[in-house]
Amino acid sequence: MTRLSKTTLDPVDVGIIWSRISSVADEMVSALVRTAFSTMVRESGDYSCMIFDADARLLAQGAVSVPSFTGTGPHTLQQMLEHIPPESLEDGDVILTNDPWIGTGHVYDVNVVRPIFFNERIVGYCLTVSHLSDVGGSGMGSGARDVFEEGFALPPVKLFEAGEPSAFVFEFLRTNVRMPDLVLGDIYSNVASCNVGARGIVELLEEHGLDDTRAVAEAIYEQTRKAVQVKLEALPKGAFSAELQVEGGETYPDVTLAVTVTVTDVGFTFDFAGTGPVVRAGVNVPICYSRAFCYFCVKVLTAPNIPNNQGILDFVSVTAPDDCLLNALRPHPTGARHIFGHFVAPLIFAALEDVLPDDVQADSGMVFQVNMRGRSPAGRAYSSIYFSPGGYGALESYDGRAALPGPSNMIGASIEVWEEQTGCMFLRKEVMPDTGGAGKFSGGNGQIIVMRNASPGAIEGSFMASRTRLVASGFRGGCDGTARTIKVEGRIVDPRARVELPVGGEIEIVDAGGGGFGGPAERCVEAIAADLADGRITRAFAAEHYSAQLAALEKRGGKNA
Amino acid sequence: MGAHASWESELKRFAISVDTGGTFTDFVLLDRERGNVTTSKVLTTPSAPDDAIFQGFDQLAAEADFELVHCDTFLHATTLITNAVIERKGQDFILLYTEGFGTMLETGREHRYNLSDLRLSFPEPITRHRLKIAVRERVLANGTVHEAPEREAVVSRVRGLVDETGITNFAVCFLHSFRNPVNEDAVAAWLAEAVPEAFVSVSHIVAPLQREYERWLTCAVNAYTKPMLGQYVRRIQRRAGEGGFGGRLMLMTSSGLPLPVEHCVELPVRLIESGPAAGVLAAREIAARNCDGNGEAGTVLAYDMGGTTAKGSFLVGGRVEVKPGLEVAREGAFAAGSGFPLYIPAIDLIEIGAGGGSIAEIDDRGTIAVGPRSAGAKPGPACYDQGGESATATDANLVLGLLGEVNFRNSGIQAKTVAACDAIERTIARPLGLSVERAAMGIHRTINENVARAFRVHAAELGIDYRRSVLVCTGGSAPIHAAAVARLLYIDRIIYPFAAGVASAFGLFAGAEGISLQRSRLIGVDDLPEDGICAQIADMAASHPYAANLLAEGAETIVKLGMRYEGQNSEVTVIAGTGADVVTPEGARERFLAAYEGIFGLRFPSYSVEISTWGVEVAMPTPIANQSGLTYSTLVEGQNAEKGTRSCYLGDAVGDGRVDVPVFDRYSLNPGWEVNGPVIIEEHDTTIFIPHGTVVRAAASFDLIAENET
Repeated sequence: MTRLSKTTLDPVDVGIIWSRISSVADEMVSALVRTAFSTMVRESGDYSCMIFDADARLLAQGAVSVPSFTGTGPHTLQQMLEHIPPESLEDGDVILTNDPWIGTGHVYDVNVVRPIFFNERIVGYCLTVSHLSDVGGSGMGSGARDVFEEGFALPPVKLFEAGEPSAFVFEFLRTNVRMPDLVLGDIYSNVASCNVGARGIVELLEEHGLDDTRAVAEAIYEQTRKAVQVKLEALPKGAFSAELQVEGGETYPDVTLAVTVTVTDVGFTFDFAGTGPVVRAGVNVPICYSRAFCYFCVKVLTAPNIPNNQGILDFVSVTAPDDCLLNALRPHPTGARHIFGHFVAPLIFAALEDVLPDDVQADSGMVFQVNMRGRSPAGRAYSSIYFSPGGYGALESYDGRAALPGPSNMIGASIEVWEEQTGCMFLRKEVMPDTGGAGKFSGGNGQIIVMRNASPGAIEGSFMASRTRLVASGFRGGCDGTARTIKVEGRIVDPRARVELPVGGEIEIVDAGGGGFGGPAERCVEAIAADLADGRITRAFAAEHYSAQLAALEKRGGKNA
Repeated sequence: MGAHASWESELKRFAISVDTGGTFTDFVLLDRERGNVTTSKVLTTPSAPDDAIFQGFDQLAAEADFELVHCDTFLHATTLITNAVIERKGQDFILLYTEGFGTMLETGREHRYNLSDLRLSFPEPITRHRLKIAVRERVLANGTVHEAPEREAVVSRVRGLVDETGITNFAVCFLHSFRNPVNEDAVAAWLAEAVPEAFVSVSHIVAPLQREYERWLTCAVNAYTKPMLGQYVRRIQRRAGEGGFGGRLMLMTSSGLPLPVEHCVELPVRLIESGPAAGVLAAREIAARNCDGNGEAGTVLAYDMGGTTAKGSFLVGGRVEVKPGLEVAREGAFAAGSGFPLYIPAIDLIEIGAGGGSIAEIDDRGTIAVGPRSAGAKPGPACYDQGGESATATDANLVLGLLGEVNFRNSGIQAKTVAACDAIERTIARPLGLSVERAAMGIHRTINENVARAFRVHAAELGIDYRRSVLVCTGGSAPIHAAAVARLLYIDRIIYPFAAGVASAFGLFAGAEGISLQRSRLIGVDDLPEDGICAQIADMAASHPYAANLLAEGAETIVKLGMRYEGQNSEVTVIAGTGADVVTPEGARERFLAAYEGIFGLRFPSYSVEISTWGVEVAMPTPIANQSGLTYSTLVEGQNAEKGTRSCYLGDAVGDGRVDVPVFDRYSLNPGWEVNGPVIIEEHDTTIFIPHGTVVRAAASFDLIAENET
């Protein structure tokens, strides 16, 4: 095997070792997904895997993740190490927490860390985050009045000590959750993933004759910094602001989200001053979650092809007034923090609409979720979330796709699997034409979904959605997408409602469309002809939004006929 | 149909195999009378691939007295179906679907396969909005019929659309048809009556597995390629018939089981990746013939690398891994999730964008990246001097001295090292502040690492310990990288087969006639009676006439169960027995617990275990044609001729200087020849590099076997 001394790391070595570290992070993802019990992990991609250097800086993050976990890891790990200092760790230890303010903003996400030991020294850490099926409390939803109602929160605690499981922690978990087999299965899944990561890094060090990750880490951060710096230099500098409104619920008003993005020679600052105050419902957003979307936007705009690492994160700083909705402090409830939190991405894009017109995305329809709890036809208790993505917002030179999530990134569930596991029956699930916003580039359409409770008992449904009144905005002259409607038994319900769906009862969702980009008058005739031929729009929609092009098209069609 | 006659007694003089590839069509001719094997290559004729086949036959007639009339078996691997899907050159079809679900094939998995790219491209749908008919019908998740389709309503809409469009090609895709096919079957029968010339693809027949998007898509791809395959096969049959051919024509399926042509025309989607499947079978044969007589096949890593892609497949205990699906036509540079996920039994292959033509560049990280972009055949690597500006892996290998200019002439190329140097200097070395040699070594090593990494990750996913395996390398670009890739994987033994260039065509003979059957049925292990697994499998085999027929002819079965803990979604495949020796449910649980622990290091003895996918492979016990004892007609007696030496830059391995490395002619090496690396061995169309610390010898099989010192 080739032996390298630390002084000979040239771009060839760095590239090779860097790729290998990224690949270890991806192997962690594979292990996590394939051993997961939670539908949130295996179907919805609600997880993340990360590798850190010995100083708790982010070396690599598994490429498959959701944006809301972008870059949350360093803060999580630092706080966990404040509770359990590195000096007190030994090989085979695994620590765990689901504290929303340490982790990723709500109690359902468990954060599991394993220190990586090599030659009896810590050379790094593996961290996995995944969404558990249950943490006690009132269940996934936005109905809680404080965080205590939402479930237990374990502060950072040793789950394994030198390879030995902590009987207390395992008993605690088993005692406090509704589906202990699933939850403990998922805890083990996180541990298995961390083990894969730790083993991968140790093998890499051995193969390359390295004592630790330090030299490689420095090189990775330095090269990343250089690459981002080049992008940054090309950006207009200044402070750019935007505001948007997000729908409230039955017990709280619409909330204003506000941001000022300041682009300087050294990086990006995001200040959420102007954002409305926290509300008395589980939709408040801890700053770790708001920050993740800042990281996500910076990564997308400046380093889309560089694997995420500390070198990117270091360009970003985030501030927000205490107890504004995007910086909720303990003990405000945060269970459905994603409903508002997802809007941080379109908020930032709106602020940069005129600064980076070629890079930003018009608003998307935003994901619809309903957490359903009931009994499967086989009699097994389940708690599963059904997602529908809404239409994807358009960008310059890019039509938004129908039923594609943005900014979050779930995976559509199979109807056949969902029906088998829940006893629900789908009556309809297909794209609704004309729901996406018209524009030079059109917003994606939403879908209509009709589901019936065909199981032998009632199903409890908890909706977590928005865009039922405040629609996805088009950018730079593009039209807005249409609003989402949610009906239970034929009646429109609040997008955060908690309902009981009786046997035979039906839910109908018409999903929100994405916003268009650029004026509809600029859309080319061929694109409109294809929209009509493929059923994305009706003739009436074309007549309303693309009248000139439609006239040209019909004149041409007339000639051909 | 398909009667597996005991053709041992009807053996004629010849058996022929033909592998149509992107550039060349390869032939292997077995001549039982002379006891030898003749290989041949002609340029592929993409617009009518059968032209190249019959050109090749003419050539073999002249060189080796080949006559179709004296040929009993004609085996064929084709890129026809794969290319039709990738290039969207299939035929329109009318989709009949469960009303309410008309855009399933357009929305797909509703997922972005790359988080950081806001402008992802997705595969263009193969369905047409105007060619869809909604059918009022419904089967429930438990298999009961909630609503049966109405004949009049369906037939009148079908007639109307056929009259309007002239299209008589259909895909029938209903929900839960894998559970109860009665509605799909009824509609398919009405179609056949109403439109006698119709091509009909039915989702539960093409892909009888759960998950509507994947099953419907597989059915749609089948419809999209069905008329085309029918025409192609008829042309081949006609032309072969004119030559007097009266034997069996079989096509290789993605699962490594050759299928008689009359079944293939019903299931064209199963021919995707048929050439690579044959390549894996070839690797199995090559490993087996070199296993030093101890009979233990062990684990084999089949590594194939050509101009654009590298493929890898693991064979454990001499058995190919067959998985229930594969993804084709990926949009985003080999990105998982960016293509069409198909439900077809397929030999498990990992494929990455790494090959001789892979372009090296400095990526956004500021380091060397090689591939997946390829310079292809045109303009080709910079050293071809045909206008290629980019440095490729081949350019790097030429600069390092691992390749020699002269050897390119066999392929009609005047390679120029100067041009390669210039491209590497301009695009890699100067921007990174490296010497040209160091940059070239960086490109070479990056390819090695990319390939090794992909194989390592893949082995981890399969739970395979690859460290004790044997690496068999095929394809034009693999032999120069194989020893280094093996070292990165702690693999000690590498086999460089004779005639590696036509390995897939050889592999066609190694297949045994058969078919893979699949079924989705979620059953808890605790809910199964003692003989429950046996009963399911027997039912699957009995309800498939061709499989039943094969069994009557003496075919053997391998039972594979997709199992998981209750509440999970990913399956672990467990081999549950062969022939009549199938495990009990309790035995299956034990095998699952062990397999799961092997992969993930976890065991939950008290958790419920369920079986979700049932698979049975029905295959004849012996390969289609026996190649043993045949010799190569092209072999010439030689004197282990050393052609001379070449100055190579071997960078990290032995210091920074150049080293003079001896170069041998492959065709002059006789069994017993053995030297220590570094050494280069040249063939007409490939070059083998054996590094320092590795010993290479020629085996009795004429294959070269290298051993890394441990």
